[in-house]
Amino acid sequence: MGLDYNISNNEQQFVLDALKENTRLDGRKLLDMRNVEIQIFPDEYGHVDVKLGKTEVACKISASIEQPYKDRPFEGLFQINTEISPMCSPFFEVSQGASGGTSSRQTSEEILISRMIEKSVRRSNALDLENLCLVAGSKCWSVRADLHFLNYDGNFIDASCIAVMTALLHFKRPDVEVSGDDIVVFDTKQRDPVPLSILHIPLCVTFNFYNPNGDEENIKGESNGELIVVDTNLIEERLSLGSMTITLNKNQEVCQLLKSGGLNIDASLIMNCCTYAAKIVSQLTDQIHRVLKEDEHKRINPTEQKELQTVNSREAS
Amino acid sequence: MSVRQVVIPGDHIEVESQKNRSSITLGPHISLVPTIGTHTLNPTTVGLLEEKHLSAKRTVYYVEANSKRYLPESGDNVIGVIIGSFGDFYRVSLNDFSVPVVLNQFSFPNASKKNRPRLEVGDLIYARVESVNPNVDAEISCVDPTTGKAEGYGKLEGGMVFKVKLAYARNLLFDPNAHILTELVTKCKFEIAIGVNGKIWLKTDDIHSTVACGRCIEKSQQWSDADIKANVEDAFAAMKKSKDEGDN
Amino acid sequence: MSRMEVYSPEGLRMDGRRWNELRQFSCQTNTHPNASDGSSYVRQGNTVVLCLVKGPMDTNRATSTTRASADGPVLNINVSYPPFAGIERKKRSKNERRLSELSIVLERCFLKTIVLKNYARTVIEVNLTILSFDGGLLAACCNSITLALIDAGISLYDYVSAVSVGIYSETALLDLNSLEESDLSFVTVGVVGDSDKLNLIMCEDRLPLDKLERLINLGIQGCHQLRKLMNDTVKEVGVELLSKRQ
Repeated sequence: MGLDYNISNNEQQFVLDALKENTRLDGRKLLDMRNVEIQIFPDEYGHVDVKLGKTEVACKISASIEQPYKDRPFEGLFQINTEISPMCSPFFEVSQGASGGTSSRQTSEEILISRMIEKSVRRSNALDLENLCLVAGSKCWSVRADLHFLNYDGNFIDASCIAVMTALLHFKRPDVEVSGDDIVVFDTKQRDPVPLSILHIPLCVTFNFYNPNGDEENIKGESNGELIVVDTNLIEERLSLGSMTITLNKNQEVCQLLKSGGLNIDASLIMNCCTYAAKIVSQLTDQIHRVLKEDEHKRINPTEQKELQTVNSREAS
Repeated sequence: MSVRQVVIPGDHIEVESQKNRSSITLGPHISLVPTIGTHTLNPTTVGLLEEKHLSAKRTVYYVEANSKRYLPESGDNVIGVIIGSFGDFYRVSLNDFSVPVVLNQFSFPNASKKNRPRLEVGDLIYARVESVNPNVDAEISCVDPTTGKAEGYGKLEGGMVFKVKLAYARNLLFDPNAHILTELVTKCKFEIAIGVNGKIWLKTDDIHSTVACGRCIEKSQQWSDADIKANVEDAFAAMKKSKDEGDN
Repeated sequence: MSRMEVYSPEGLRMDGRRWNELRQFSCQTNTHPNASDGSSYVRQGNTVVLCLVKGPMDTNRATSTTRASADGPVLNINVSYPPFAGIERKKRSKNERRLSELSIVLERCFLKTIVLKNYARTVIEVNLTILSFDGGLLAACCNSITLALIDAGISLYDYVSAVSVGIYSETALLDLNSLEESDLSFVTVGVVGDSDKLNLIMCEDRLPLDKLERLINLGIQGCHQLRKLMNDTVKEVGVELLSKRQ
């Protein structure tokens, strides 16, 4: 009882009124994204932290050598682990394991988020699994992405998709040499580690819908007055009457699209959303590449600079 | 020891010995170790030690700390949301994910069996914590016990709620010259209710200035006093600009 | 075995349909009058779905423990996918993520279509059984729930009809069977009534963005056809009921 976000009628009305005037509580316009901050941890490969306003998600990639599935001997394994702990918000309860039904809203939200990331990244073949095969049928790389949800302020899906993709692009696995059935794994100091082969970068954009007119108007009316908002924060997300998540890559391919119920939206508006999402996705892709490039610079330079510094002694030791 | 000093649990703060026990009043987050000759104060949390002389004979000591979750204390002014009703009571949430408190339907000025306010689920109220007892739900009330009148308590109509840190909300409520508020007054007309549960209710004539005011208050937690004037100026200029764009 | 042609140059599909033709659609309502408050049986080609609706009822009579909500009914949708339904006999666990996602999507779909205010503090339980699967699972489930809800006398704003649409190079194909589904990218579209407004849209495969519009348009047309077919059945049942009363 009472263990939920309690949003008063005043706040509800105010948020809606503000949206009608094309403003939001944090000063954005309806179709503005929040600022995306991507931070790559300097000590490791494939450890990324993404902040979308106050929403924060971290992703860590790890790889190990395992046996492939019997029915797919030429493919590696890829697993995305998304468990939302109450750490990010008491709204998400401790998962009740397999026996927990889908009846409570919290768990259903969680299932949708994890399925969405699964479909966006794994099903769309963003990671080339055949490239992970070492010895057909007996050994392959198993790549695992662990998502940690650190703070909840709406729009987990978009943030986690950015985190997973940046981490995958950044991750490097140790180099290996295969001779017959023997595999030699080289330390990262012996040989430079190898990046994963990423085929494309799918990114999610979530739209939320609001209805300034009544239910009847939404279903029967001709006005199409529904408000469409991008990248909602917590209170907006809780008040929204439906959402649509579209996953696109830079080549203008839809990887996944889901609008489950909620307000009924005219087909033409949905198409507008999709084209707008394409714009956002191309911006985000550029940003990810920029961050990765900066990080690469940082990683190459320190050793070089250290060696080139004049303070180093010139004497042969 | 009149300066505010940072204290942590485990500190021993000696109080002048000539004071006897009855002249010391203890506020939140502090305890007293009775020793012979001197009195030693033990803070129970990290914060700023405050000392206030109520009269020549009475001194209050307390630690001003910023806790994360609001726990009701009697006498606090709070903003709550009605989340249900049972019997003659409303159930009110002061904090997301906390145990709700109760509000008697007769705790309104001039309320009687026949004439009592009708509040609905989701209504926002400004109230005062009446009693806190570990064994029963805390109770709040919309009547000022000294006058028996509303004195500002009651249902809040319209407006918007913004959330700030608990310590900041206390500061805004108890400091009559809170810098940010005096600065905002010069910019626009607004109604405000400050709850020490970290909620601030604001109402102005239009949505744009409410948003601007609210954001200023939220952000001013990180501003230094010197920057407030310039920052408020900027926020309102930006608001005017975006509003004009929206109109065109 | 030579690869079957998905869409021949003559404009015929594997099962002989044209691009804009639905599979044979038949439906019945009130198939299980004793076991439930509303029931339906929907056949779209070789996909057969049975739907039983119980409710609206008191929360404490529901099989699963749910909390009543003051704004509207709690909709519980269970999808069961017996081992014999697919081509390959395979046991599926009840908690399979794909199925739980399916039921969540269906739940959200119908919550906005039911006239909420009539059913505050009640539970509506929907049990779906997939008797045979040949593509278009989400669509068939959607249609069968609509009919079962109508049979149960629950007030809806309008029909929700859904259909899957796939794309084969430049041609959009309506109502895919499972062979086509495994070869093509497809989208499931759900429409409310005879408007152009989408209640549901779901796509799980890669698909060029510029083709999406064509798919949605064809999907909407297909949904309107389905709605008409369902409406005919419902009207027939209605007329029969009326004649019995006199």
